[in-house]
Amino acid sequence: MKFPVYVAYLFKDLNYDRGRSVLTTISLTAVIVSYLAASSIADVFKEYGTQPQTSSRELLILSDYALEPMQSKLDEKILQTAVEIVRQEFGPESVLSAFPVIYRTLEINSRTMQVLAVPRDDLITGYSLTLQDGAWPASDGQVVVTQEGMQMNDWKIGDCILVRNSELLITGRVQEEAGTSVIWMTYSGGQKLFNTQDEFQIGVLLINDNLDLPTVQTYMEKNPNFPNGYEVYLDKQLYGRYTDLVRDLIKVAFIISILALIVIVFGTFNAASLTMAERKLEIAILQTIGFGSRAISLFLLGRTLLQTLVAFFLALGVMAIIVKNSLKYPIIFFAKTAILRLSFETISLGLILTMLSAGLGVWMIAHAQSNQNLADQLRQ
Amino acid sequence: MSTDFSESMILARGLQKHYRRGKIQVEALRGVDLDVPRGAFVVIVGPSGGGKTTLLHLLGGIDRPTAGQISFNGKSLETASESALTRFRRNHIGFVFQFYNLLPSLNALDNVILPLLARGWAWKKARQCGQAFLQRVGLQARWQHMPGELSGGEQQRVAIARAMVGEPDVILADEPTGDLDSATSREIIQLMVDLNHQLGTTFVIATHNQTACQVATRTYEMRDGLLTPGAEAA
Repeated sequence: MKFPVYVAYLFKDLNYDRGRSVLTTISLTAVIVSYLAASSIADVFKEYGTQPQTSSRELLILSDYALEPMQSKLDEKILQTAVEIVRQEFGPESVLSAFPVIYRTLEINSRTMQVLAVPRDDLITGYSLTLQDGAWPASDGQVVVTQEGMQMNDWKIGDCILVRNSELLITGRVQEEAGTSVIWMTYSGGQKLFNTQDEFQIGVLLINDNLDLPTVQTYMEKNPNFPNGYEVYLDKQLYGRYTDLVRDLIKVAFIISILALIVIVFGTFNAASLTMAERKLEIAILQTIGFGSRAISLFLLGRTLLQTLVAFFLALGVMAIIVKNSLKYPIIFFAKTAILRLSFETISLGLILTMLSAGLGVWMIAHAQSNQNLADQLRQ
Repeated sequence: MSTDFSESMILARGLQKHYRRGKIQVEALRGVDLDVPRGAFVVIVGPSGGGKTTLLHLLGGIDRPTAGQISFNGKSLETASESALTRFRRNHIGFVFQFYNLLPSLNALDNVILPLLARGWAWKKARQCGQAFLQRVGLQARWQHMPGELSGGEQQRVAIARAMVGEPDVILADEPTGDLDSATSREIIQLMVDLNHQLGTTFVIATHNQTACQVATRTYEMRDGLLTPGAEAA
């Protein structure tokens, strides 16, 4: 069959069979979306499981029962006790600074964000923040926002944002190593905003460069004078206390990736082979007329691949909507914003596997049918 | 037994076909001899299950005999490869089935020209040829209709046009009137007779239809896997 005729018949066939074609395309789209979503979630888990170590010099004190920093409760006395314990053992210069942090996760503009309040001087020097644009907060009503937070909300420097019925002016854009969506403000501003006096969530100790942080951390935790009900963690490794869980996340990510691959391979294969199986008589008629098995297989292969390609692009569209919405409503997970992303690797692997599985489905059924007696096929 | 294959277009000797249906061994053909001269209008009658369809499948290269010889224009079919049989069907045989077996996704004209496309014809040329054959079977005005929009008789006319369009040497028709009322059956038989006379195409028809027997140049009766020659037309 000549190529233009081949293409014309392909579209005639798809058009005639549009009801079934649409259903098959929808089911293929669902399969591919499942794969893309699972792969995307697996990537998020993998990212959590492989957080890089930072060179920060901070130790964090939190309530030991707090699975999420917002649940933690500390006061100034506990922070001072911790400072004294370290200075007694490692010398007066061992703690460069100690400060409280008010931590909240709030829904702002229908988006979940972290709000952190830190004494102004410590905000500028104590945290691993880099001012990218604008200025540090000069008063309680001013805030700086991380780049991710600005992008997510489409905010600009100079914008006023409404948080808990208080207007806050964005004075600058900052960058932090963890890449989370955070609003940073002064401690006194945080106390007013959240109506707290002595209570905060995280106590931060900035430790001298010449000391080994894990050694100090271990010493503090084992010291009998260290207050009960609190634990010490390395900064930026807050979720490090869930080390086992984080390690499990990599396993979960791996399992989800495998499941995603199985879903796409078998889902596509199944859809392709089902279409073929439904058309056995038509294939037999074409063979009787004089079409070779290869020509028929090529026709069905082209039809299936075209359908699969359409389904793949539809699935990409659906997934783009899901990703966009995940940006709108991000999940805060272990003090970090989880954002779904579609990587080039996921898309290309999905496309290759989809096409291969569809092709394999067609080829296997066509091969099985070509080995079957033509007279038997016509009788059936 | 020595056979001179050059005398007939189709010649079968000692054809046997056995196959299994579940646990039962079926002897569909039990030694069939058949001679089909060029231009003949051969009718095979007999009860259902007698082996008529099996014989047509063997003659058309759709199936292979368990034993015996079958030749077409002197060339042996039973030893031909699958691709050779496909070429044989494409170039020499036209099939007409009881249930028409038109492709539901294609309109009448597109169904008709399928054998030409299988031969690699260009679409425009194939369509011109297809239109001419639809005209021969009286359906030139309905070329755009889908099979589902045509009556049984009309679908069988389309199937005949499809079988004829490549101008094959033989048309093998298996119960072509089996699904039609008597008036339409007569029309279909007459159409095939006309084509046989006009184009000289050889017809081998398996049928219960008595009208077909009356117009046949040669008749056979097929019963229990055995073929018995019937009356030869004057």
